[in-house]
Amino acid sequence: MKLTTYFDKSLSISALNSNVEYIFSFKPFSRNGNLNLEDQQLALQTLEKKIKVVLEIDILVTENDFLALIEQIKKIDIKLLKFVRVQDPGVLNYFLDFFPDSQIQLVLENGNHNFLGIKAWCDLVGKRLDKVVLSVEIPGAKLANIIKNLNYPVEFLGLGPILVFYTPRPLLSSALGDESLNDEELIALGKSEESPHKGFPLTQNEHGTFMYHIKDFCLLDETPELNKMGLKYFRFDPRISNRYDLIDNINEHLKNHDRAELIKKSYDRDIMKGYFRVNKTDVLFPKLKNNRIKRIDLSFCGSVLEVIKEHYIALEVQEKNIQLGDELKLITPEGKEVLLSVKSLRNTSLKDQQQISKGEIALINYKRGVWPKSSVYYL
Amino acid sequence: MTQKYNIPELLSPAGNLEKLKVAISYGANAVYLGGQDFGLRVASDNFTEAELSEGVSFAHERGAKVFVVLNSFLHDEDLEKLPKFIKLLSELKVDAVIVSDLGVVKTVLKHSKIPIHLSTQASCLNAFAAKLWKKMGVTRIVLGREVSIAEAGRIKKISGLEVELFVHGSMCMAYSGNCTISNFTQGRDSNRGGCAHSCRFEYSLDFKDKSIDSKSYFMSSKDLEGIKVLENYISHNIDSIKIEGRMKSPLYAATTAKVYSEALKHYAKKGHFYSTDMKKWEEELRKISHRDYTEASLIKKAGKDSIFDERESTKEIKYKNIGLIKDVVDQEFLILNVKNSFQNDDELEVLDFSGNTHHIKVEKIYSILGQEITKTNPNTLVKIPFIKGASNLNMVRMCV
Repeated sequence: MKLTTYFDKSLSISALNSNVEYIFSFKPFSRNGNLNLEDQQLALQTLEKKIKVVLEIDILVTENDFLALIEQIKKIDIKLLKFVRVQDPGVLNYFLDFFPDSQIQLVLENGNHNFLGIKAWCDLVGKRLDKVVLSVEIPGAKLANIIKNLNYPVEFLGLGPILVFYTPRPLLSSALGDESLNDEELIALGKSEESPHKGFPLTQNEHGTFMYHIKDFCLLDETPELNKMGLKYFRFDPRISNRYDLIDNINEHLKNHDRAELIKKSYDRDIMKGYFRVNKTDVLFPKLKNNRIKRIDLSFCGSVLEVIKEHYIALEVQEKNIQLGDELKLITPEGKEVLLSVKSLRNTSLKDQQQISKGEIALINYKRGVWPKSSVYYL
Repeated sequence: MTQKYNIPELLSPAGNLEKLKVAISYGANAVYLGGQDFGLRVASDNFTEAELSEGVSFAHERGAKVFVVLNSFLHDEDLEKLPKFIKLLSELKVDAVIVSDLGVVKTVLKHSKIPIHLSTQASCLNAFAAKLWKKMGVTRIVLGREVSIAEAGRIKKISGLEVELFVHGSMCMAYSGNCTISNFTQGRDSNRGGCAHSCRFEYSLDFKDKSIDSKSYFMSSKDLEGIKVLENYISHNIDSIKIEGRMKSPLYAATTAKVYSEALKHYAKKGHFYSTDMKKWEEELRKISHRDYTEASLIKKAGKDSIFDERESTKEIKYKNIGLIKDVVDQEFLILNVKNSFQNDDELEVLDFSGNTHHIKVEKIYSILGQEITKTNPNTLVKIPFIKGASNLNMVRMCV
C-alpha cells in the first residue's frame, strides 16, 4: 500500500520520498489548490528525482469555463500531464480525446457507491486508468469486495478532511457583503444552532465555496485491514490541517502499521472513521413520512375526505367500484384499523346508490374512530 | 409574426397522482415522478404500481409524457431490487427514466429499452461531459443549474443530445450530488432522498483573520424563476424546461404549469413574449409559496443576489390554497375539498383550465348534507354554487 499525498512549497524537494506519490494541486485546476502555475518548476524538479507527480484537475467546469480551463492546461508542461487526476466527466473526456499519453486517476468520490457503476467507469477509461479514487461513504466490507473484483488499483482517503459541500457561488464574500472579494481566498469556521456540529471549516476561492466536516476522516488504525484487502493507495490530505510534517511518519506507518497512536496524538484536528464500519444513512427514511397512510395497492379502495359524526364518511373511490354490502377496513393516519360494512351508500346529491364508481365520491355509513386521510381497503 | 423556433416541452413535478392530474390538466406536456424507491424524495407520497399505471394512462390519453426518477446514488443492495421495477416501467410504457448513477444506467440498458435522461444530480455541466454520457447510452441531459441558457444551447449543439434545463423552483446551493452535509451530520443520505436541508440553516461565521463574526443564512439559495427569460430558452433551442417541486402543493403544481404553459402558448401564437400578460404571469408566480426569486445562473453566474438570507418561515404568503374541486353536481354545485378554511364574504379565485381566473364572493356555503354553513373547516367537503367554466380538479385559492 503506497502513500498518496499533496505537495506543498513548505516541503523540500530533496527530502521528498520516492515511494510516495505527490499530487500537485494548482489553483486554476483544484478545489483546494495550494500552488500557483509558476510553481510548475517544483513539479518538474520532483519529476527529475523519479518521483511520481500527479496533476490534479478536480474542479467541476461549466461550458464557458471549459474554454478557459483548456487555455490554462496549455500552460502546463506536457511532462506534468503524465498522471492526471480528474472528477468532472467532461475533463475526463477531454483528456481521453486529446492527451493519449496521459494516465487517468479517476475520482469517483461523490456517489458511485455500487460495483456495477464503478466498474463501468473504470472500463470506460480502460488501460489508461492509473487508479480509481472511491468514496469514503463506502464501508470497509464493501470496499474489500470492490477491490477484490475490480482489477483496477484503488485509492481511499486514509487521513484528511471530508468535503461535504461544493458550490461555485462565492458565499463567504457575500456573507461579508463585499463582492470585490469574490475571487479572493477566504477562510472561516461555521456553526449553526440547528446542528450539534460546530466548527465546519469553510474556504472560498476562485472556484467557489467549500465546506468540510468538523472531523477529519482517519483510518490509521485500519491500515493492516486495508492492506489485507488489497488497497493500493492510502491518501493523506494535509491541506486543511497543514500537517505536511506528518508525511514521512504516515509513510512509515504504512509499512509497519505501528505509528497510528503517535500520529493521532500529534494530529490537531478531531478525527473519525465515518461510515467505514457501517453505512446506515437510509435507515431513518421510513420515519420521514407517515407510512400508515401509504397506499398498499392490493385491495385498495380509496381515501377518506371527510367524516361527519353520526352521519357519514365521505371517501374518494380511487380503485374499483364500491358497493352496498362491501366489507371495508379503514386505516387511520395514527395506524388504527376500523372494520366497517357498507350499509348505506349515497352520492354527493345524497341519492341512495347500489354502487359508486371509481373517481367519484361515496358517502358511506359513519363509524367512530375514522378520520380524514384514512386509507380504505376492501376486506 | 410566425413562430421562429421550436417550443420547449414543459415538464412539471408530480409528487403524487393528484398533482400529476393537476399539472397535466393545467398544461404540462410532461411530468416527472418517483416510485416508492430509487428517487430523491423519500418524504414525498410518490407512486405505487397502481398509481403509476393510472398516472401513465391519464398522461398518455392527454398526449403528455411521464418520466420516472431513478436518480438516487444507489448502493449495491439498492441496485439488486431495480431490475424488477424497470421491467414494470417498461410494461407501463413510461417515456423515460431519469438517472444519475452509471450503475443504474447500465441496469436500465440491460433490462429495457426505456430512454435514459441524465439527472441534474450528475452535475453535467459541459459538452465534453455530455458527449461522454451519450456514449454511455443517455439520450437527454438534465443540465446542472450552474449552466446558463446559452451554455445549454451550445452543449445541445455540440453533443447532439436533447437538453433539459430548470426554469422554476427551489435550488440546491451546492452542485447537485456534491453535498453530503445531511449524510455526515444527520445520518441521512441526501443523495438517496434524505436531504435534511442543512443549507437552509442559519450559521455563524467566524472569519478569524478579519475579526468579523457574521451570522447569516449564507448557504440558502433563492428560488429560480425563468419566466422573464423564456425567450432565451427558445432561441437556444432548449428541448425541455423543468419545474422543480415534487414535495410542493397541488396549488403550486397548478400555478406553475398554468403560467409557463400560457406563456409558451402565447409565444407559439405570437412569436414573442411582449405582452401585458408577462406582468400577470409574474404576479401569478408570486401567489404561490416561494422564497425570493432569482434568475441564478440562467444568464450570468449567480452571485450575492442569489442568496436567500432569511429564515424560511418569515416569508409572507399572500394567497392560501383553499382546495381542489372534486365534483360538479348537476351544473348546480361545485364540491370543494377544503384544505384551508374560508367563510362567507371571502373572495375565492377558481383557476380554470382555459387560463381564466374566476373571482367569486362567497355568499352561500353548504355542507354535503345541504345545510347552510357560514364557515368551513380543513379536511371537509362543502358545496358552493356552480361557476360556469369550473370543472373537476380546478384549484381554488384565496388572497389573505
